[in-house]
Amino acid sequence: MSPRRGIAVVVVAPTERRIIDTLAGILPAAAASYEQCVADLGGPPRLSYRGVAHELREVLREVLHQLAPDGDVLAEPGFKLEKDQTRPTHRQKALYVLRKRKLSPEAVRAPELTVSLVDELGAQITRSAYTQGSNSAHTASSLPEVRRLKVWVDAVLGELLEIHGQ
Amino acid sequence: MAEPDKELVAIGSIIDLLLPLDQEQRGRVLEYVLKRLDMATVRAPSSVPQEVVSSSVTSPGSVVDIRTLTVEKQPRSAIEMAAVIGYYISELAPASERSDTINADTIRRYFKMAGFPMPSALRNVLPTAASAGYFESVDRGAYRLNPVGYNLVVHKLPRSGSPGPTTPSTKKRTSGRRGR
Repeated sequence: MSPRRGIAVVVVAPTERRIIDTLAGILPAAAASYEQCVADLGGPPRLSYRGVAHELREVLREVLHQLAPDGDVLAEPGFKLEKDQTRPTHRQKALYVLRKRKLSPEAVRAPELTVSLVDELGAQITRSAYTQGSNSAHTASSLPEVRRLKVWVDAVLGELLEIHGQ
Repeated sequence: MAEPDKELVAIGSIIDLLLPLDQEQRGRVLEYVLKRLDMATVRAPSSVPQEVVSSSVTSPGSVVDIRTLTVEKQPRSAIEMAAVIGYYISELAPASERSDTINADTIRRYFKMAGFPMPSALRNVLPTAASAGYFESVDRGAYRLNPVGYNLVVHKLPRSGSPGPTTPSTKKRTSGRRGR
């Protein structure tokens, strides 16, 4: 029996729906990517989740690029590239947006940390896809990882897109 | 005795009908039904968000002025105030004032009308609000509130623990009529 056959009814959570709707207004391609990730994670089992992880990171990258273009971040007074980097990192871009919003340092800290976690976990998932010999073992271990990645991506998008209510 | 929950009855019926079928047949049936009902994906029942929206936002169409909206939303900075103005102008203002875009003159006029402290660098407010992700530049000096700015006003404001419009972070207001 193929695990890819049939149809899955994917329930889109209210936060996910708000993210999709907001992205549709500023980055329609990212909205489609994100909705695809939601469908993939809620749908039938997949042979690999590396693509989902990559797409989630790509959505975040596009949002950060839209809200904080490299040129704008580089032009910010006092900005310094991180070590061994030639462009602003995701963390620096998120910081740029949140600081422009005049948020308190405490309010900025959580999303800043979460962006770093997304980068680390996303890279880890990609790396493990190459290093793990058994595809089935990788699939079993990567699904929870990718779900965790999505929770963090949702948290960051929630802040950047002002999704979260009171 | 209470009437059985309609949703539970429907779920039970669907399960009963699908049980004798194999996975592929179930997929085809569900696919057809979803298409027939024009449902690409199924949304979670929005028991919370719709109510949240209606309770936290002055619904478009209801008569509200910028001063009332400012009191309701409690913007804490000139950037947030600009978003409130952008929302007011595009969603709530009388037809004669309504517009998709705002500029520095609009900001000046509505800051005064709302009794919100006028920032020293008024010309920088909209570019900074755009950098913060709330507006998109549509023409020279003209900006349109984007979905992120809309979310800020509709879902986020007032921020928890907001000091309110009477004690904005930049300047202390001495009078609600200041700037008129």
